[in-house]
Amino acid sequence: MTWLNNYLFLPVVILFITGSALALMRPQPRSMLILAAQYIAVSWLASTSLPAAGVAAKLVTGLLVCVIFYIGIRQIGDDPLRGDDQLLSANIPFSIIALLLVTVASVSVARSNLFAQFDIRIEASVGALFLIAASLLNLGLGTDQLRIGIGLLTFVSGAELIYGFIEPALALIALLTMVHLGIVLVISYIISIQIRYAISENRDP
Amino acid sequence: MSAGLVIFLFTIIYSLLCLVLRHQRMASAFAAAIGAGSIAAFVLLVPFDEAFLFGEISIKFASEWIILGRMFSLSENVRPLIGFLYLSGAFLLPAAWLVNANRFFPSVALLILAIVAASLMVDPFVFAAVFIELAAMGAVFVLVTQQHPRSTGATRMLILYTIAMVSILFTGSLLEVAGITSATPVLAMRVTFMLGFGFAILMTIPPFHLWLPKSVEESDPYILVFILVILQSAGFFFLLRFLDSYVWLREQTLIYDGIRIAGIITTILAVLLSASQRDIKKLMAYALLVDLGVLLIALGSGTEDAFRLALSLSAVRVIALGVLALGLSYLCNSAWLVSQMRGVGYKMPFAAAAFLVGLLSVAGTPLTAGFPVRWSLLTVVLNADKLAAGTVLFSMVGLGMLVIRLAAILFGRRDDDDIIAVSKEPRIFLLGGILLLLLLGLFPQLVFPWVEDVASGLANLFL
Repeated sequence: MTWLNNYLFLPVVILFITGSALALMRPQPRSMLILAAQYIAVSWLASTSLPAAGVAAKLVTGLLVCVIFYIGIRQIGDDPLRGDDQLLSANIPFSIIALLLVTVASVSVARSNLFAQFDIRIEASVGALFLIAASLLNLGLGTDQLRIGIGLLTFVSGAELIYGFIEPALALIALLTMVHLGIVLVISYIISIQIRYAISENRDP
Repeated sequence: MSAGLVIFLFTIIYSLLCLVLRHQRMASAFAAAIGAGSIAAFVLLVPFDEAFLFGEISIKFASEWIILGRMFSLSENVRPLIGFLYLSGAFLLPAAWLVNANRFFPSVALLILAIVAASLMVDPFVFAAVFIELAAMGAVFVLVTQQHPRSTGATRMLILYTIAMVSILFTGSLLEVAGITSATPVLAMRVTFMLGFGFAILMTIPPFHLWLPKSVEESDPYILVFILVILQSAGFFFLLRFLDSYVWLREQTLIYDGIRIAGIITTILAVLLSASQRDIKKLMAYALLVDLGVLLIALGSGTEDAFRLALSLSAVRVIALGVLALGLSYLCNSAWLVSQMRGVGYKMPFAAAAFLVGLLSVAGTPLTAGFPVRWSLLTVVLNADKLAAGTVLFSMVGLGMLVIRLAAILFGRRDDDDIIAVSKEPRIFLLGGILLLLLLGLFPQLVFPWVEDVASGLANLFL
């Protein structure tokens, strides 16, 4: 699998595309496909620091998270979520400018010697810092639970990518896997409670 | 058998029992309290790593438990801390059936206690940040329920705790991998900043308190107090262990100055905000912050005596905040209260009295549990930092005056002062809480043995 390391620019490009799409699009069930692509790119980059078992665990968890999120949203009844037909977020010019700013900032920080003592590959640090910056933007741009869930998962993915170079321990991979699953369960739970409440009150959640 | 495994198994068993009993709220709450109490007794009283006779059977519990190559250790320095968490649970959980809590609360509460206990047991201890994050996730399940469907506060908490987890994990790794000492000032400064940021979130220091007033609006006050006491205690113990483990950190006066200044700002801000509140639920949120601010002032004083006082404060606050929140929870169940507070004291005298006595204890009024610790703190910080001493005094006077104003409103005369009937059990709980606060005010030495146990475990901090 070492040939994958020759094309590490590809997952970085995928992360830029998926991160931007998740920040600019209105969160909806189909966002899970983009999130899945993001998890694949993260696992690809993580393969430079983690053992194969760790990468596999990360990839499987990521895809599982997307499936749980998707099924959760669909099974709850997607009517309240489907009522929102717009593809892009409101105030798109502001979102694009903010995204450009965080992209420039993350690339600049990655090129500095912030992580000099950890020997982190430049592709991984660019990708990770972009994910962290884009996730903070995502968390700041909206208050709906799906966006917050996606933002948190992206944030943890970005941090995990850097942390893999610092401490590639199996126990930590397992713990952070639990964090991913925990976030998706908590957010699905909150969405389910609010939709039940909205249905019982017969109003828009 | 390892002690960690025993705690884990007992937690699961009691949690399942609470789940089975969920439709009998009283039985479920008491089962959870008995479970927490029995685990606390196991942690505090049973000898580990040596055989002892139980009847005719020889038993030996190992203090270490290894999972995935990582050790969960019930060493002497964490036993009193874990015991404290479970005792807090045993104290707070019996009253859970009296408040407007979800019927799964006792079950989930036990799991949260176990996760926080795991955060204290895990080695290396920086992994505790991940367990505290998992506990915060568990907290969302009890804060957001069908009775309390709004989730802004809980979501804010989840976001902040996730950021804190990452910040502390990085800091821990920097400490271990980069070998930071006082000879690497730039790196040390960076680590100190990240550490401070992470702990500020974990301990709800402003401006990271924003989830608290929102949560108190959206959830039951008693449930919120349970969550806050457990999570803040976890953050506080985690900070103590950081200070105990790293010499360069312990020796930096900047750290203690920072903690003390954060405490002063938190206290002043919270007193002013509580004085401007018309909503008594939000007032409770700011009273919680006042209490936290005083605790930080004690910790930031950096002396052994002040550390002991900080530990005493953390013990006393469980009771004071529990009684305050129980009274408030009862008051808030009356829908008309928010708009018409006047005269509520006559309608629900026990609940109003519990709320006011709890608040008096948080204020540190004489004859209540909060007074001896605050008074001792005043004597400790008076010579070292007059501003800190003035802030503690300001919190006592400010909150005390607020209680007088509230008492005047709650017990103000109205035309319809018919008492709302409260059954015997809630009255026993409310009255028992008030008496306990007064008892601890008269005999503050009751919490001393626990404080000394903790102090002996943190040998570097308490020389």
